[in-house]
Amino acid sequence: MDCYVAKGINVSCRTIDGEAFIFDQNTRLLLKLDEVGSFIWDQINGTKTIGQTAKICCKTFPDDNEEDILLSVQEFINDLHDKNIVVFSDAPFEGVMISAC
Amino acid sequence: MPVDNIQLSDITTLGKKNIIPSSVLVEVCYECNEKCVHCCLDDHTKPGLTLEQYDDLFDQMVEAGTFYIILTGGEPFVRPDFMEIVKSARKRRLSVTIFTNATLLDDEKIIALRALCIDEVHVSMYSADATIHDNITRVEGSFYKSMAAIKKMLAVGITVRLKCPLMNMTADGIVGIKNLAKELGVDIQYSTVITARNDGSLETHQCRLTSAQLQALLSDPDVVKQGTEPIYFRGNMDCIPCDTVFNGGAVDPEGNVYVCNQLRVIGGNILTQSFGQIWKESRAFQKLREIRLRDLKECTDCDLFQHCTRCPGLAFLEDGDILGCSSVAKVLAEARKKVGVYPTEAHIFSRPIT
Repeated sequence: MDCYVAKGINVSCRTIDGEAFIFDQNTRLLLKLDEVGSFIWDQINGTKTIGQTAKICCKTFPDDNEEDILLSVQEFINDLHDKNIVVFSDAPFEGVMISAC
Repeated sequence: MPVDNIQLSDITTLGKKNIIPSSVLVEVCYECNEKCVHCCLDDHTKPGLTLEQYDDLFDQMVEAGTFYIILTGGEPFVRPDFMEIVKSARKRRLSVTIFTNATLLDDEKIIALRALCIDEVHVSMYSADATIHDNITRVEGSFYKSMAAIKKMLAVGITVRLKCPLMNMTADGIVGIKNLAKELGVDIQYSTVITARNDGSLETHQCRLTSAQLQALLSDPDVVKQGTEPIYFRGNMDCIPCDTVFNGGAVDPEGNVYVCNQLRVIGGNILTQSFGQIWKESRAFQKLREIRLRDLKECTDCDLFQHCTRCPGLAFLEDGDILGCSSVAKVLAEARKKVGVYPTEAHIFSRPIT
């Protein structure tokens, strides 16, 4: 089932020169994403589902196979979820940490 | 879509390369509820910018690429709206560390800080002896108030670090503060230098360690990490005296922007220019970034060079010449030479930008 995705409240992040740096304040794990990962990261704002995010990627990277993109985005976001970097919900997120990021 | 695990230093290295203010210190007020004998502030009346101005500043920092900020004062918690300032920074996903004496922290604030996932709280602790600590803060009962808040923060899972500037009246109690930190399960960040006040006045120097105390402390690897071999920076005259001019940043309570709160050269004011524009375009900052080891004529010929951890800010503040010898660095270098230790690479001069 498709679900909404938001950055965790525990996350500090900044995108510099197209590369996203993500710091988990709880585990002190620091990650750097590649260009495509960083693009997806910047789309995550609590108001889009994983499916909607994947569709935006398909439009941005039209040369790639749509089915592959959908699977990759799903896999990538699930990986971030396993690392407690993003959270899922059945409804759009609201709240102090979501609006600006 | 590979995800790489990296180190925090990778961000500051990127900042150095691209002139990004990765780590910025924000002084939200100069008001304080303690009256510490060694304090570097010359004026405790400045109340700081408004919450709305900090909202705007944090937006500009995000735009400029800032990743971490340190919120400090004075004592930041004297501001009734300080928690709102923290919230504003976290809302923008800035990693937040707070420097405080913790005496004004209550249960409600501590729980709120935990919920905001701040990075660390650094608490000023001068001694494990309550009387000595209170004599330094000149506020009776301050030791027990700070300790109570530290324990509560640790209980809810906030990372606490003790900030311990070493002074002649506290150096003999170094074992006590180490034991205190051990009992609490926290790290200590020591400093062996008590700086002049921001206006250049030197009365704080009476708190400085004696030469014998300094040598004893420099021999203690818990206090200062030392190298056993010199770092041969002298062979490369393009070395940079301080990376902070590339990747640091500081904002005082009136909105003035510095490369570092220790280096009192104002690049501009955020009330009239954007933070990012000041950082990149200030002529004063550009001139600081042009300084290389070759420009420090006294250093390049000095026989203490390999032992020295010169801070350009202190050379300017205390000795009046940003390119000249720093008297306090010289004292430290002499002590290192006597003890037979060397600074590590992280202490001072860094490699040129490649």
